[in-house]
Amino acid sequence: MALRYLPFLRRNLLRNRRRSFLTLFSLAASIFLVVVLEGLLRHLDDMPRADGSEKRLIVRNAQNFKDPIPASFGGKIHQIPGVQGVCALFLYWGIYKDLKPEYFFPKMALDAERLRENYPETRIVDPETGAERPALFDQFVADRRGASAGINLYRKYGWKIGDRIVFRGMGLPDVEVTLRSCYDGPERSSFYFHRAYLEELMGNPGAVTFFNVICENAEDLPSVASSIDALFANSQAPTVTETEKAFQGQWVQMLGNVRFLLRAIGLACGFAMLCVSANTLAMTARERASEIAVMKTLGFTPGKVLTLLLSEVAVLCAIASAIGSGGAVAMFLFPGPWHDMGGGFLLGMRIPPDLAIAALPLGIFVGWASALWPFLRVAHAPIASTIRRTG
Amino acid sequence: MSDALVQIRSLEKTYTRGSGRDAQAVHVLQGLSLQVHKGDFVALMGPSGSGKTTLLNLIAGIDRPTAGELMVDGLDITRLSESELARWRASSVGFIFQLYNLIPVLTAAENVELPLLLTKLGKRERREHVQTALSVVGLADRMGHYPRQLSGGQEQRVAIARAIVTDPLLLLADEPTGDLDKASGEEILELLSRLNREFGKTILMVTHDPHAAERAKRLVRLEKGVLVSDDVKAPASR
Repeated sequence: MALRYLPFLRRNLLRNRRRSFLTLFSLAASIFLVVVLEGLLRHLDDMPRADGSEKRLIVRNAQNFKDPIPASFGGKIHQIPGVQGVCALFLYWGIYKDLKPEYFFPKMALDAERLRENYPETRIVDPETGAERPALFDQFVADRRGASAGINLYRKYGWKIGDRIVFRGMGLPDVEVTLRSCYDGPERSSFYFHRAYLEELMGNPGAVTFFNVICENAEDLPSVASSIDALFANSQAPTVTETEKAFQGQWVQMLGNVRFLLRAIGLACGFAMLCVSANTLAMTARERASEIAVMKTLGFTPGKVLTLLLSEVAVLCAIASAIGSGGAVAMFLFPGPWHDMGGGFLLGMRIPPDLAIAALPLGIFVGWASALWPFLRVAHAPIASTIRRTG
Repeated sequence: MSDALVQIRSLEKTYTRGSGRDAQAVHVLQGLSLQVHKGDFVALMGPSGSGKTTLLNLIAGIDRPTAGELMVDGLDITRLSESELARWRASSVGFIFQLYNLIPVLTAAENVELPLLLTKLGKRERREHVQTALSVVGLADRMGHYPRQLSGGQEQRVAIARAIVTDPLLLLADEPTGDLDKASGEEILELLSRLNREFGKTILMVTHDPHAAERAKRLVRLEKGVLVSDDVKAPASR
C-alpha cells in the first residue's frame, strides 16, 4: 500500500529543488563532521597497534611523563626475567624549519641498533620505490650522526637519502643529522636518530624519556611491569610501566581535553543541523498548510498526512546521511593529506562500519525531531480556517 | 422525508473572535434547519457573512457545529472523531473550491487520483477511474498536464473530476465560478448541471452570482445565519 505514495513523495521532495539540495547539503556536511569527530574519538581510544605491540611495555617517570629517568635503568630492566630487549628513547623537542603545524612530527633519539629488534613490524625501504632495502639500516646504525625517518616524512618534505636535516632545539642542543635510512610500517611519520649523539651534545647527562621494553611472551607483560616498577620504587626516579596502548593514551591526554573538545564540536554540529532542518521544515509546513488542508478535505486523516510528511523528511535525511557518512568513510579509506595531520595521530584511522551505519538513523532522528512539531501542527490544523486564511 | 440526504435541525455555529477580555462571540449560524434530498441541486445564496460557506463546511465535515443536528445519509456526522470524519469525507463528499486548490507538483491525472489512493483500488483500476472522471469533465487529453499548464476553467474542471472520482453521495461547491471569466464559468455551471441531470449527483453550491443560481433546482437564501427563503424552481425556469 505504501508504494502507491512513492510518486507523491518524489514530487514533493523535488518541488523546490534548490531548497531540497541546500538542505540535503547542509545535513550531509553536518553528518560528515559528526561521523569524522566520533570516528576520531574512537581512533584515539583504539589507535592501531603494530604487530609485536602486544609484547611491548613502556617505562616512564612516575612523577611526570616529560621528566627524564636515568639511562642506567636500562641495564637493570634487561636483567628482569621475561625481558627480551630494552630500547632507550629520548623525546627530542626541536623545530624543523619553522614552528608551524606542517613541520611538526615526533623526533626521538634512541638506541639505533635496538630499533629493529624492538619494532619488528617495521621494514627498511627505499623512500622512492618503497622496495625493501635492509642495507640502509646498517648505514644508519654505522653513522653516529645518521637518522632514519618514516616514509611519509620523505614523501611530505621531498627528502632523499643523504639529505642533511637540522633541528633547532627547544631548550635542547641543535641537532644536525644525515638521512641514512627509511622505514615503512603501521607507523610511518616519526624521525629517529642516535641517542648516543644527543647524549654527547647534551654533555652526557645519562637521561632518557622512556624505555621501550619487548618481552619474550605477551603473557609476561603484567609480571614484568610489576617487577620493573618494584625495582625502582625507592629510586630517585620511580617508574610507571604500562602497555604501549596505555602509553599512547597518555599522548592523547597530552593534547589537552581533546575528547571534550571533539564532543563539544560534534554536539554543536548536531545542534546546527537540528536548527537548519527545523527552520527549513517549519517553512515548508507553513507553505504547504493550504495543500494539506485540501488533502484532509479529500479524506486524508491527520495521521496519514503526518506519516507522508515524515516519510519525505526520512527520505531526505537518509540520503543526506548516506552522503555525509559515505564521504567520511571514503576520506579515510583512501590516502590523502589529512592522514599526516595531527602529528601522525590520524595514521591508520578508519571510520568503523557501525558508526557509518549509525549515521543513518541519527540523521533521520534529527530530521524527525525538527519536523515533528511544525508538521504535527499543520496536520492537525482546522481545515476550514486554514483554507480561509490561505485561500 | 425518507429520501432526505442531508437533514439539518437547529444548527448553530459560533466563533470566538479575539481572546481574553476582548473575546467576542460571533453567531454565524443561528438555529438553522434544512433538508436536502437525493438528486437535489441547491444554490445557497446570501450576502457576505451570512453563513453560506460555514454551512457548506459543516455539511462537508470540515468544521464542527456548536449545537444542533446534522445527519448525512442517516449518519450523525457531528459525533464522528476527526479520523472517522476524514474517512467519511473520502467516501461520501466531493468538494469543489473557489480557487481550485490543485496540488501544483502533481499532474491533472495525479491530482484526480489523490482521493483514490485512500481506497483499496489497484493501480490499473485507479487509472481507469481517473480516465473516466477526466473524460466526464472533457479533459481526457490533458491528463499529463500540470495545473500551471491549464487555464482557470480547465483547473476547475480537474478539481471537479477530483471531486467526483470516488463517486460520492454529495458534491459541495464553494463559489465554483467565483474566480473564472464568464465563458469558463458557464462551462463549469453546465458541467455541474449535467452531473446533476445525467448522473443524479446531489449538489450544494454556494454562490454570489444570481446567474449561477439560475442553474440550480432550488434556491436557499441565508441572512445573518438564518434561513430567509427556500424556493424550489419549476422545471421550466431552469
